Amino acid sequence: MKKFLLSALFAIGLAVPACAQGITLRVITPAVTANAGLRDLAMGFEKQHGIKVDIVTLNMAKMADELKTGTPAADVVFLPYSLMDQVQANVASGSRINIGRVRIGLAIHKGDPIPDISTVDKLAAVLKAADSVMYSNPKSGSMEAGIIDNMLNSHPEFAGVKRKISMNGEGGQAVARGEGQMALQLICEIVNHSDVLANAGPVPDSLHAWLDVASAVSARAPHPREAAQFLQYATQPGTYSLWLGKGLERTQD
Amino acid sequence: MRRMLLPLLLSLGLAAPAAAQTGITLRAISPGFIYNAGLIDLAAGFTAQTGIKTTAHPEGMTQMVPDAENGNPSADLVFLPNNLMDKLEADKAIVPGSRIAIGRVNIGLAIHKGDPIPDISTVDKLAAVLKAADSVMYSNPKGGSMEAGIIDNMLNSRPELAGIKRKISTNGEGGQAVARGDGQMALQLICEIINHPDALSNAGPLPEELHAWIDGSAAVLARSTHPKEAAQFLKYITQPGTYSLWLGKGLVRAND
Repeated sequence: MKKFLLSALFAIGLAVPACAQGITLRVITPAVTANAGLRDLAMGFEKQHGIKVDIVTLNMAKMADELKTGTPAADVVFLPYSLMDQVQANVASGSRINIGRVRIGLAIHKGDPIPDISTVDKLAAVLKAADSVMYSNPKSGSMEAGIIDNMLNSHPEFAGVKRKISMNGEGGQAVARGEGQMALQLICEIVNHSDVLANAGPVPDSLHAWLDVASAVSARAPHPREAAQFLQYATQPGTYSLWLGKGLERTQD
Repeated sequence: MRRMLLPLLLSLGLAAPAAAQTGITLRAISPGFIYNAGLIDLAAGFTAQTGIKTTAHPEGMTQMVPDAENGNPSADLVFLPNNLMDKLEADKAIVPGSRIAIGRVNIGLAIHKGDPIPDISTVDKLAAVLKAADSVMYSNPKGGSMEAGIIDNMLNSRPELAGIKRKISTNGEGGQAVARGDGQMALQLICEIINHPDALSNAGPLPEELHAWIDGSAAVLARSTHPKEAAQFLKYITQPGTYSLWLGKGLVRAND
């Protein structure tokens, strides 16, 4: 090994960046991408390029306003497609990159038998047999919770599921604390609790239970060149395994 | 989104790979310090993108060289600390020219999540923190763990570290033991601290002058039945975009 970049990341308790240039990029994101690899990519970018990246995780309902008028202005924004479509005037032309898809899965206690949820009927049977099926609070503005709530309401197969809304954080976190038997949760928020939770798999495709996420440079970005550089870094081919390992399936353009 | 690679990794409880199956399965053997530092995710990504199924198998350090040279089934790829890879290379057990430096995993200090992060930036500060602890756990050196040997040697050879209340974990890693509540803190490879994010925090790497780390390499084994695909895998896992994955798991990539 000829040489090491010896500095290590704050987040993993290592040392100081090798070549800070005084620039800090502000990246605003919903939890879905923050938890699906973005933090590690920000650390790697900072270490390799000396450009600090602040990841600011916001409630989905606040994202558009923060992009348009937030202070300090964001450099980069991550949003679900539907919201990104609504803010095209607020992002730099041509900078949008589709990132990928995070599916909703079924979180169970680690060590419990993995149930078969490969069809809607099988999923329904598993959910109905559970003492409680937790999920995040839809009233909080969580898009994920809205998708789950809508899925449970609109599919007659799920009638009779004993639902339990987590009043303290995500549904998966609540199950991890022992407040319920299982939870419907974005997979990126199941696999990041690997000591306590297992993912029984994504819910069946026919339920369309996922979030597709895109990114772009903000039209108000104080550092547009570096922001574009960060997006290029975060989507280069070798990042596929990182995103996937965190629960996000990269878009193949 | 024009198209998704729908497969999800078995380890994530997701679906079957989208890339065409090749019928080839690569077998990679690795000690824990690389297995836990990104190899699993990279194997899953490679499988999903190429259709070449790749299985990673963790092994105890003492089994590694014998298994690489004589194990059945034979492995295609081996990951090892540099000194053991030197032996394999001398034994002509790896494909010439296939050896590649992977990187370094430092030993850090694991504490209970939520506890204040102590300053261990110098040997004297580290010594003060360790001496003030009710117990400092680490893995059992008698189990053949290279990491535990490094820690044991460090604690024995540095007078500043005398008087620490050491406690050997007799059930898994020192960090795992702390996570279970068996001790206050643990000296542990960083990749084996940060993979317990709900229970542990990493107070940082030990000061550099203690040389408390393991440097690892990878190579295609001469006994590989799929040397071309094995070389493809090594190229995949060391391409520039993988830097953040390794780093996020606690391994600082070698910079060739």
